[in-house]
Amino acid sequence: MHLQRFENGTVDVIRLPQRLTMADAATYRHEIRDLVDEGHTHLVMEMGDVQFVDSSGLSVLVSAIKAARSAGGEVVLSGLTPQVQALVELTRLHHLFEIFADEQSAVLFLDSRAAA
Amino acid sequence: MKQLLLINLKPDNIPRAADWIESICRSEGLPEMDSYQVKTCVVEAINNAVEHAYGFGKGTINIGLWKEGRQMMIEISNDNENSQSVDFAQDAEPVPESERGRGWLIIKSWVDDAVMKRRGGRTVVRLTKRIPI
Repeated sequence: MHLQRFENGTVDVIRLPQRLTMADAATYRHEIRDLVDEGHTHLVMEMGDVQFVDSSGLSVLVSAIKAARSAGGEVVLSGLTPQVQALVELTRLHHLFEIFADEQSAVLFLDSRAAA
Repeated sequence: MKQLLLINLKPDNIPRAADWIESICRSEGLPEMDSYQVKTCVVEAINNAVEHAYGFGKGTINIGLWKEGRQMMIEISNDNENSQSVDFAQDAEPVPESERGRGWLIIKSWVDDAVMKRRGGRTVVRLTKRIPI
């Protein structure tokens, strides 16, 4: 399964699937790194459809932000369900990522960062 | 009554097993968030076996669920007694930028008790989750 991506000005929105788990983690990690290598360095991870994430899925997010930051970009999260939000906070990832309630707010934030 | 599931480690089977576990937890009276937490912990235990017992290769996992008083008991076992052992009492605080090391923190935090032991040539992880009154 491939990630869905939408360009929104200087920002790319990646709509993550219902499950973000070990089964697809390696594939997604490579897809996102390839995207960053192609110059798409400001990414919104839209997680409104994500119903389940495991620690391998979280590692995809960490890998993405490390790749983006090393290329001068940034990754933010949006649309987390209460369950996913709880997991992100438990694993302290809310200290690593800016988190937004919706995709539009996340895009606006990153767009201003990309323009700066 | 103890309910048992034997899963072959194919990519689609772990999510199915996880949904089965969540469904049983809900039917036994665990609230939605607690059931989600148990499901997540079971997936983490299975992932650990996939990586450390089977090296991402073929294998089977046994899952047993039963109710003991006001507790849900869940056992996840594999047939490799050389699986990596885990000290659940250790400090498992992750480094935010680390891509690894969150699985056991999740288990340690989201169930009331977690024990790993060797039994009859198998590695068994037993999880306990209290059912709120």
